[in-house]
Formats: sequence, C-alpha cells, structure tokens
Amino acid sequence: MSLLITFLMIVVVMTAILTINSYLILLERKTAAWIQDRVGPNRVGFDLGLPFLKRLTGGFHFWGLGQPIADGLKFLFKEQVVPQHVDKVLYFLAPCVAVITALLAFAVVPFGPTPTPQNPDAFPFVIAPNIDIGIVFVFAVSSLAVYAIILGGWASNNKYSMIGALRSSAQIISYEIPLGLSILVVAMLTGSLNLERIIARQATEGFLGWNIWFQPLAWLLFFTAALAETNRLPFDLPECEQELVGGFHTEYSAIKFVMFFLGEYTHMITVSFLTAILFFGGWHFPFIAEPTSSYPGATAVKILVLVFKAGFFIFLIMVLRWSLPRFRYDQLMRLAWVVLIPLGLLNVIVAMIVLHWGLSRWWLLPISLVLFVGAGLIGTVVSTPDKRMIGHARQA
Amino acid sequence: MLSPLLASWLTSLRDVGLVLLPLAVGMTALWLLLPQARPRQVLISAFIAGTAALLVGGLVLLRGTGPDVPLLFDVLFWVFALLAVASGVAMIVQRNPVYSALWFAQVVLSTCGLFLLQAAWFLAAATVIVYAGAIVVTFLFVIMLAQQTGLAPYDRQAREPLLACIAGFALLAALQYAVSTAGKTSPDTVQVFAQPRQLPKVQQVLEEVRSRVKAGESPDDTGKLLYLQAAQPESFVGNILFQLAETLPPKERKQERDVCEAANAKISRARLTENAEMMVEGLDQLLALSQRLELRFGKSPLSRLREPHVASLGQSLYGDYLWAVEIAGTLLLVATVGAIVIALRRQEEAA
Repeated sequence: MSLLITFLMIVVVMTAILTINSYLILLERKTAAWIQDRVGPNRVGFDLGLPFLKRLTGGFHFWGLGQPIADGLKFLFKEQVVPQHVDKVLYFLAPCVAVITALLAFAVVPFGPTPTPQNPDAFPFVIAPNIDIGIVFVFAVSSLAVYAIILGGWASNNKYSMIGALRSSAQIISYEIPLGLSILVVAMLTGSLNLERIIARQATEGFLGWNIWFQPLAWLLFFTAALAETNRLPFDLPECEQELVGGFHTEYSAIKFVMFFLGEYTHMITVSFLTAILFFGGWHFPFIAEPTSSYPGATAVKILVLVFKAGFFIFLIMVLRWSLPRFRYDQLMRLAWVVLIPLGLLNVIVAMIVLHWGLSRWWLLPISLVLFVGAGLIGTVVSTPDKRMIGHARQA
Repeated sequence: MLSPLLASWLTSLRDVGLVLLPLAVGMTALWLLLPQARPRQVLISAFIAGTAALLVGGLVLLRGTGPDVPLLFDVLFWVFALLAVASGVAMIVQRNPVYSALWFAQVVLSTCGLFLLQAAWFLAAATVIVYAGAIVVTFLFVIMLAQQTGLAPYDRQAREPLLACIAGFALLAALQYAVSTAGKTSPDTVQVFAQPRQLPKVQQVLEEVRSRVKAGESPDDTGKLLYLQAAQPESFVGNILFQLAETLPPKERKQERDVCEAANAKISRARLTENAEMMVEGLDQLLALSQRLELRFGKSPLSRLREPHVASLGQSLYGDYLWAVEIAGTLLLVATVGAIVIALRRQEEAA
C-alpha cells in the first residue's frame, strides 16, 4: 500500500516537475523580455501554429502559452546530430546523468504540509518521508551532478567543451563547502538534518521562528553557493558564451541539449524549495497556514504557500541573471575560498558558541549582520592580486 | 570404513573446495579479461565469469538464506552486490583510464546501495559525497588533463596479470574461508558481535537456569550454564545483552547498560555467595531486559531503516571517540597544510 502511494507520488511529482520546467523556460524568456523592455514570446497559442489545430482554437494566441509545447516538440523532432569525433557512450551518458541526479535530489524535499508535533499523523507530502539524513541526501546526489558536465565536456572531444567542464568541476567542488557550512548552522539550530523536522520547528515557533531571522548570513551564503552549484548567472562560467561558445554543451543539440537544461532547471526548483524550507518556514505562513489551522482546504493552502515561496526564489534567480554581470574565473574562485568559506566557518563557530552556552538565538541576528558588514569592509581595504594588477596597469 | 578423523577431514575439504571453486573460476575469467598482449576472448571469459556467478548462486541456495527478510531486500542485495563485483572487474580490465574511473564510481555507488540496505544512511551519503562526488571527480580531472593523445603503455597492457590474479585470489580465499567457518561452527556461538537473533536462545537459557535455581540447585553450578559456549567470557548471556544494549540510541543505551551491569554484578555475587534469592532477582532483570531488546530488534529491517541514527552516530563520534576524531582531524589538517606548502615551493622553483 505504502509502496503504491510512493509510486503514485513519484509519478505525480516527476510529471509536475517536467511540466513546470518547460513553463519556467517561458517565464525565463518573459522575464528577460520585461527587463530588456521587449515583449517576449507571445505568438504561439495551443494550436502550435499547425493549420488543422488552428481551426479548433480559432487562431487565438493564448498569450504565448503554447510556446513551451511547441519548443518541446521542436527539440524532440530535430535531427540527432552526433559529431564524428565524440566518445559515443559517454556522450550519450552525460545528459542522462544530468537529468537523473537532478530528479533524484528532489526525493527528500517536501512540497507540501508535513507532520508537526501538533498533528504527528499528518500525511507527509514528500516522496521519501522521514529520511534521517535529509539534506545530506540532497548533497550526496547533487555532488554526482558534476559528472554530467565533466563527462559531457570530455566526451565532446572539443577544447571549448573541455575548458567549460574543467571550470565547472572546480567551481562545483569549491562551492559545495560554503553550501555545507551554511546548512550546518540550520541543522544545528534544529538538531536534525531531516527537512520535515526543520519545517516542523519553524512552523511550531511561528513567524519569528523562521531561520532567516537568526541566520540571514547563512541564507546569503546558501543562496550564493546554490547559484554557483546550479551554474546560473552570475556563476555560469562553464557555458560562458563569449569565451567558450557554449561551454560543456557546445557539441550537444536537440533533445540531448534539452536534457542538460532540464537538469539545470530542476536544480533551480530544488534549490528554491530548499531555500523556502531551510530559511523561510517551509509551508508555514502566519494566520493562513499554521500547524494548527484545520479549515477545509488547509492542505491545499499550505502546498500553495510553499510553492509560492519557492516560485519567488525561482523568479529572483531569473531576475539576478539579467541584473548581475558574469564573474571572471579567478574572481569566482576567490569569492568561494577567500570570502564565503571563512565567513561560513565564522558563522558556524558563532552559532556553536550561542548554542553551547544557551544564549538567546536572537544574538545570532546582530552577529550575522556584523560578520557580513565586517567582511564587506575588509574587502574594501585589503588589496587583492586583482587590484594590484590594475594598479600596475595604471602605473604603466 | 572411514575413520571419523578422515571423514571430518573430507568434509572440511569439501567445504573449503565449495568456497574456493567459484573464486578460482572467477579468477580465471578475470585473468582472461585483463588487457594483455594477445587479443582478448571476451565471449569465453564472459561465459566463465557467468559460471562463477552461477556457482556462487548455487552455493548460496545450498547454504540457505539468513534470517527472514522481505523479498525486495534480497533482490536489492543481489542487484547491488552483482553490480559492485561486475563494476570492479570492469574497472580493472578497462584500457581507457577515464572509463576505469567511472567504473570505480559505479563500484562506490553500488557499495553505498549495500550500506543503505544495512540502514547505514549516513555512511552511504558520506561515501557518495567523499568518493563518488569528490575523489573520483579529481581522478577524472587529472586523467583528462594528463592524457592528451592515445593510451599509455601501462594502460594498454596489464603488467603482471597472472601474479596479480593469484594474489587477489589468495587474499579473497583467506577472507572467504574465515567468514564461512566463523558463521558455521555452531548456532550457539557468539560471533565477534552479539546478534539480535541470539535473543530467543538467551531467554531460553535464562529461564532454564532460573527454574533450576528455584528447584534448589546450587546457583554456582547452574551459573555455568549461563555461558552459551563453555569458558568464553564473551558468551556469557549478560555480556551478549550488554553488547546489544550498546547498539541502542543514546538515551536508552545509558539506561539499559546500567540495568545490565547491575544484573550481571548481582549474578556473579550470587554465585560466589550461593545466594539463590539474589540469583533469581538478577536473572529476572536480565530476562526483562532481553524481552525489551527483543521488542526493539524484533522489527523488520524495513522499520529499522526509519530509525533516527545520525544523532547516535554523532554521539558516538564526538562522545565515545572524541579524541580519535580530533587527532585524525588534526593530522589531516597538518597534511593539507603540508601539501599546500610543497605545491607552492614547486611553483616558485618553476618560476
């Protein structure tokens, strides 16, 4: 019975993620258009431009909502181009790894209400409920995602792909450390790695119990590192167009190319859900979605709250893409090793001190801000090799 | 008529042969598969490897399976185990080092599947992160950067295929023999670790001794029965219960260990002083403890998967083994600093 429920849940969640992914691409294009003062895709309706369907829909364009379907069909029916010089097995394996790891990571992420101490028998809206290692599982699976990029880059047998893959693996391995450090603090505050418990603690303590109040710095570290892990701008060096043509996916076309993007967008969804769950109370929202609220449709409201929170972060990631320029590679690595990791370590030590001596958790808020401002000030004073280079250039 | 000694020798010879035969067949297949100067006979060696797998399967069927587990568990175990062994073979017979590294990642992942079946979630996740996620990726990194065109001679041909196969065979055979004999001597033997499945036997012994003491037999004489195996201190039923209590989550562990220690002390004192009343008291405490433990461990392996264990793991690492963990951590830190210093010096020399 529980096997059947799990199976159904997997089918529903996977279908939902794949559908949402295709519409996220539309949202991304629309966002880009708004920011660049264009209209964006608004022509393709559900007739997909096919004459015999046009008669059914009367030619109405539905504000471009048919675009993702048309795009998907186009990618499916495109010619499969496999370059002569590639390593065939790994060339096809790489996009599969991208999709598999991205989807697998979602297995322990709750997407709706989960049990709390008030009602421990609530139905858990998560594919694999009650996994004690919770967030570590997400880590473990997404640490495998680097294979997709490194294999794609190597199997392509192309220098641009290779450079993209090498950049990426160094980037992903480096940014895993601040990511882990930021989550460590949340786990320490909750006393568990289990995502359902992390939500339950925040929901029970109400709006002022959300982790963001105690750990704004950890949130910033998490979000920055997660952006780098998903290869999104401003950290999308593996596929940096101006230097590397398309980076690790230069040699990929049609459905294989789409699979890499499915992986990236699924990662984006997972990261947004994790941000909402770890720092913003999960499905909890004051008054309308409390652990005690039991009005008809409360479950649906809770799911919607979590989805809206996650949706907000997805939108934020998209807006960031068009607001921040890309980092240079050395800047990217320095950000991880010189800024994020020491900040994360200090943050963990502070949290340890506060928890060990049983101080009020509210101490963490000012200390976080002080650490952040301090790091910024140090950044303006300390001369980096980068600035020294500019200085030399000026003198010359 | 065979003398009993000869008969027992023959039996043990048969047992050893049964264990070693699949290994020997597997070794032959591996030797044929290793990259050598002559062309590889893939079909023949695959057939021999298949025979080895069938032999192992037959041996397992002959032995009978262990405690009752759901069919899904058995199936998953075989899938992961076969995948691990096959990927291990594929890893060493590959000529292309990139593929070898990938097969190594596959070995790690399959082994993590086996860890999961043993309810060791954290170990599985940590192994994936450290090995598959970081170390193998670094291997790939180096291989891809170092290897520009074609395959190096050491990749094209194995250096000492026969010697390597025989060495591996000897190691595996010794291990296999030790494991197979340890599990077989007698159902009552206490293995290296106490097992929950010994609990019924433990209870049976406790009850028997209790009824004998109540019937008026000397506590010291009947106390000797409390050893599942003669004169083995670790086979004292109190010790078995104590070891089982050690595996409980921290809160219960402390309490049950204390209960067990008190009862054990009581029993030894009762045996010394021939105090039947005290003996029965201690036996009752142990009986109650073993029943509680049976309730805890009697669950199916599936339900054991659900128990929170990260907290107990942390307690153990940062409580029981704090010094070991700290010293290991410091050593690693020193090694890292040393590596960086050496790397920087080389760069300076190059410049």
